[in-house]
Amino acid sequence: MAGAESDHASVTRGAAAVFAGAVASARIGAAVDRDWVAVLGRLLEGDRVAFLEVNRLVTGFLVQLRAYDFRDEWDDLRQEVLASVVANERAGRLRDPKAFLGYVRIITRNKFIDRLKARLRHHEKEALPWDEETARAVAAPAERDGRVAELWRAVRDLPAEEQRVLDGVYRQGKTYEQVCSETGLPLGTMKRRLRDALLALRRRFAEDEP
Amino acid sequence: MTCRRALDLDLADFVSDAARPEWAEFRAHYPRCAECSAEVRAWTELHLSLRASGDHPAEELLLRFETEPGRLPAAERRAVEDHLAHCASCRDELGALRRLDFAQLAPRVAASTSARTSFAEVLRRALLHPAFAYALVLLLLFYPALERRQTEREDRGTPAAMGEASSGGALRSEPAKQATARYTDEVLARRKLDAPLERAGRESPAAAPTAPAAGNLAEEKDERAFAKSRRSLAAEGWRALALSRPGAAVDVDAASLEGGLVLTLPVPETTPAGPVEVRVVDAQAGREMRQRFADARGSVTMRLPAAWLTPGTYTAELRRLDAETSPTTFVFRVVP
Repeated sequence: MAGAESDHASVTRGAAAVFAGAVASARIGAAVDRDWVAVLGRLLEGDRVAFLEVNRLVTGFLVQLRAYDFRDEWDDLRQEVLASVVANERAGRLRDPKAFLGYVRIITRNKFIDRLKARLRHHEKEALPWDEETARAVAAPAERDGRVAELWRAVRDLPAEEQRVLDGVYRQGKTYEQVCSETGLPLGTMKRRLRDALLALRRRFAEDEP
Repeated sequence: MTCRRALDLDLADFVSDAARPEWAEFRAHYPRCAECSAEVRAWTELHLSLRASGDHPAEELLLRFETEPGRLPAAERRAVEDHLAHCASCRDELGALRRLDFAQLAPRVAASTSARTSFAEVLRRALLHPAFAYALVLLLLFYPALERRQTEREDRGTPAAMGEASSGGALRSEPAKQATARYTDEVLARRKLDAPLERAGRESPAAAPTAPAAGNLAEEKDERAFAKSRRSLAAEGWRALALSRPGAAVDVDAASLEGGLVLTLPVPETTPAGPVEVRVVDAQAGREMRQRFADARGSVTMRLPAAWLTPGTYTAELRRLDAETSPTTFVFRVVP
């Protein structure tokens, strides 16, 4: 265990120098400023970094859609999205960089939902509740991006111990074990603090939801 | 609210690690349940918003780790290894990189430089194109029938022509040759309009084929051939959209428009057959496309090339040309 902890510590220490700042939804946030037309150009020339950039964007959307709840990997879906992106780029329909993210977001969602319905043996024309919820999530990404700062301001109103747990788990990306080690909290207590903190934030922001 | 499962469960724990086996039943439940779907979405948004400042290896680093790990500094390599050990999405991306066949991209590179290809190359591609071969087959199939038909017309026409045809045997008159040439040109032109190459958007949509003259076997075959051709085009990526009545906009996924849109609009049943005009308008871009149908009944079909259909809202107005009636307006959207 001690070995594992030191491994994680080295990751954390080295993170600032080694890793670029971007994950999950932030991957999408960071992607907004990228020149996607240029990335696609490089992809068409066989650039592997460009492939990873587009791939990472699609992965971010899959995380947002909770696609990993239904399958361990979505390589075929990503390839399908990639094929659509490339076909549309070649047809000259993706010249507006601002439209690119919206296009990839919607195409990923549509293809994912089609497969999810097939997997759940859901009739194609019947409404699937998760389909409707993902449509809402896809429709308001900017709103959520703008809410991040507000969310962290709200964290400051929480009890100090809950703030430390949230900061360790979410801001610093530490494991539960690392947070326990740093805060001195037993694992069960740490999890309870985390749940209480999230619940408080959930209740606070639920009031703003339609 | 009818289902309270999402309220009874610890969704903070669920969104943190939904992959655990104990969540399997809920994973299967929530997509079908409106209440639980709404709660899971809200919790997921909260979770993802909080995670916004986390770290993943940059794409360049991930690639270097995959292709030349020995040349990475030990600390960086170790950091990526540790990250991959607990980051499913990065493992997934790396797996996708390993599985991708970059040769698949090669033809696209060639396609992107096609504007610089030589005339000989363009000619070679045109000659090898299936549409060209199909047009040649049509020409060979119908040439004897056309020739016979033209000769019969001339036989019924002037005695001089009859005499020339009789005396000439297999030789054709100059007018017959010209008429045959005109017809074959027309066949080729119609085929050309239907050809998939048109999907590049160089030309306006093909005119709707007119009804063949009754009693002419060759023309009936010709029409069947065109119908088959249209089915073939649909199979090649033309998306069919039949709007049954005016009203709410129908969405069309731009990605599904590989070739373009085959738009079918109903002609009101109370309307006797007559000329109609369909006008498709992209108001935002100030563009429109019109097509007239001489003897419309039942429905009319218009083709809109994919290159013309940029994302946006389009109105399709169907208007009678022989009567003072208000146009029927349909709406569809091309969504990116």
